Amino acid sequence: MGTKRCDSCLIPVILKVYFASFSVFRGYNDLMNANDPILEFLDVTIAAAVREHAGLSHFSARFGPGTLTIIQMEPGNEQLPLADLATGLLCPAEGRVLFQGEAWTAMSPERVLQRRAQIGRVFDGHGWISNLNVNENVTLAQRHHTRRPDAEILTEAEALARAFGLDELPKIRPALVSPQDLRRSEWIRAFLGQPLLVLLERPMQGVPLEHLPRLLGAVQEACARKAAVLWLTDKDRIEQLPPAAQYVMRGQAMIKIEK
Amino acid sequence: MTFSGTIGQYTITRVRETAHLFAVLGSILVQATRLRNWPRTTRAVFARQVLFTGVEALRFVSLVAFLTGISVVVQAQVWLGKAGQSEMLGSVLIAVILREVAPLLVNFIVIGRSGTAIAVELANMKVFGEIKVLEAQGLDTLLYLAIPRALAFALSVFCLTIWFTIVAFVSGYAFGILFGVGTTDPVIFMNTVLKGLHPADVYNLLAKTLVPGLFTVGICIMEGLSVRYSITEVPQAATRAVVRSIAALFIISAIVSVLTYI
Repeated sequence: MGTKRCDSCLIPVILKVYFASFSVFRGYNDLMNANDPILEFLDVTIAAAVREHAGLSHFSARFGPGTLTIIQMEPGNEQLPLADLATGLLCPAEGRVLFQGEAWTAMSPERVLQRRAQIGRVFDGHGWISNLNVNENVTLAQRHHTRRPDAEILTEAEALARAFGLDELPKIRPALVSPQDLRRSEWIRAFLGQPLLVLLERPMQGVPLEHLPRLLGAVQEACARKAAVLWLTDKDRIEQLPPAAQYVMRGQAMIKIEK
Repeated sequence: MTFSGTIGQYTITRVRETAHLFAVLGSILVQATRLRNWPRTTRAVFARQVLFTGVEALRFVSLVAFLTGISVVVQAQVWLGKAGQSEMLGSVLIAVILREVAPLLVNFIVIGRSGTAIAVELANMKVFGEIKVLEAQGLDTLLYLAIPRALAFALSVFCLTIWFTIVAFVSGYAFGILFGVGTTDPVIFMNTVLKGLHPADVYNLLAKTLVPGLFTVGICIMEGLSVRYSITEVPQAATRAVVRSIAALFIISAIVSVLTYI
């Protein structure tokens, strides 16, 4: 929210903002090795919170560039806080979550916001701002964090909409869009702007299986450009997904499935 | 708990809430001065809030100002004329309309129209997890939701108050002619009013519109975001927001009047 810096004159502020826009995303990435994990969970433990999320106990994993990881959730225990931990929205009681080598808890508030801009997500549950149209919702983060022209962002969003089988990006309130189209619009938002990390929380919920290849195509493209993809899914969907690293929840423990 | 303990607990809670409100308003004002905190999305929220709070309230504010002009301005002309004090008309109208009635009524209207809307909107966003959706995308609640709303709100209250004053004077003057009281020459009427205007009135107007506007938004945002899980908390938050905004409005108005004129 706040910043501790104190700018005494407007010109340095303008210059800082101008140059920051070029260096914000590039500078730190340059320091990273191409094979360094994008997301790391280091012995993460978080207690279950009633009505909010399930618990997680001593979970460690590394999610590298170009990898797809499938996480199978236990029936009745779907409110896994993994995506919230991965985006730094939740702080673990023990352990650390690192995004591009940096712990969320060690980042400044401004840096946290910049880092989250590099993460695409399909939310499990309500993932929309009700008083914005779907197209405004989809392009919100890109319009907020980047200086890309609106037309360019919309063109990319429309291309993704067609790729996901939508005639066009809905330009009405989320409440007026069918659940199926709304879910696919979430796919657009998750992949828009080529994020480094894509978190898919039950992305096929409410969507007919015929659209699965379209989503898999987008996942493959994301992996090809070295993004990490985490796919959280129910047990009954697991057979339909491509071979990838897999974890399964058992109680509060996350177990890696060795093939 | 003892009686004195209850009073102490209540006082501590209120002091903490007030300190939190000042901290939120301070953050809004400091962060609003930074150019990087005004990306196009924030500017869009600002424009929408000006439209909703300022432009869409124009008709109702005009109606209230029109009726206020008829009742207050015409009366002032009648009674001052009867008392042989017509030269005081400007001072009386400025003191009544510009200093007190216009800022109070406009703030009331805006609290009722937009303050409740902001509190309810943010409370619903909180209950339905939309605040989390924003934060997950790297949008700061203060920067995206609070700053543009606060500034748009304060600006709208200021502009609406000026508009209210103009409409009230014009309607008062027009109905004064219709009822055969006061001067018929618009230039004389305008000069009389302008003669009653002092530099302190400008500061008073700024303080009684911008400051309560900011406080109203701060209170409505805090109350809206104070809800947790249940939709039934939303109307309670809205009611608290309105009551506290009105209380703040009267306190600020009284303090400003005392500081400006006494």
